[in-house]
Amino acid sequence: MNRLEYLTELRRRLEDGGLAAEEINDAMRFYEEIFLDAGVEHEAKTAENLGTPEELANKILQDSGIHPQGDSVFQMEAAADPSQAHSTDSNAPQNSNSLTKLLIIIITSPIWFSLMCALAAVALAILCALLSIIIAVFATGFSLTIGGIITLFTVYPAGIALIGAGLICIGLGGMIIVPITKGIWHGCVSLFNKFTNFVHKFVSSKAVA
Amino acid sequence: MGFSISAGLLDSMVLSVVDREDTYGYEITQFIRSAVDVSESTLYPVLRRLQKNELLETYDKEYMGRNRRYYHVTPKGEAALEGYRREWKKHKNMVDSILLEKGGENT
Repeated sequence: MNRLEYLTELRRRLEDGGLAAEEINDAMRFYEEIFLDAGVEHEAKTAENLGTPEELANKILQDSGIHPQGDSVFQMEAAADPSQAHSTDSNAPQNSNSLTKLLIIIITSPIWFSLMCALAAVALAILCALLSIIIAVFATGFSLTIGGIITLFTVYPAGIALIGAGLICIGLGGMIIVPITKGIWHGCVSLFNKFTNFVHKFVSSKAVA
Repeated sequence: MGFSISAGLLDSMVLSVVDREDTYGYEITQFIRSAVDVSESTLYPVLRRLQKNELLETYDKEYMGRNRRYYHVTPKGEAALEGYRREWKKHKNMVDSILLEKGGENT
């Protein structure tokens, strides 16, 4: 086992043992230095001297007043050994449990499906409203500018004013269109990601729970 | 080695090693290991205890592009080391007086 493998495993076990972050970092710092100062070429030998990461983690935990021989380790070992009758026993109710949950999801679908449709409709409405605002601003800008150019030949100052107002509108439209479209795009993407994550978590938690 | 090394003895030995000159974890463990058979995992709690009791303090020094943690004996540590050494001499004489049949009064 090389240094990185050893230290990664050690850290994981200390974290699982519930050791304070500060103490974990202190221990990791010490043992990392032991590895580095012993020399890269002696990593395997150093790891051998220290014992397995599990033994070392247990010793560190014990020295900090945590007893790794307690329930958590027992459970970890039981989980690590699938051949044990105990764990196969508990598998059956897990499966039926997830099945009932799946059934509940399907049965309640009229409620959450309609709710989701409503939410989607609201989101779409907001989207349309934003788009129409942008279009309206642009349309106003263009018509003011064109109107201004026509008025330029009859009432010179009014034409200038209209063109100016039109250009301001087009400018404003240009300013808002970029952040709004960007925001909508990012919002859609992150919402989609969140949704898929949620579904993924939901389904996988079912398999574990 | 047939004789067990007590926690107090380890504390005093580590203090004595660092007292010679400021040094870092690996060197301390190697030095102690050259005399008694203890592992790094035994010495780590010793170093932590000595720090907690303010007998040792640490500072970082750059070495080959990384920071090495050096240990330094505090004034409190110096005093403790003096006490340990006195105690050890007494202890050693007492054991010697029986084990080596020297007779405690003469030494």
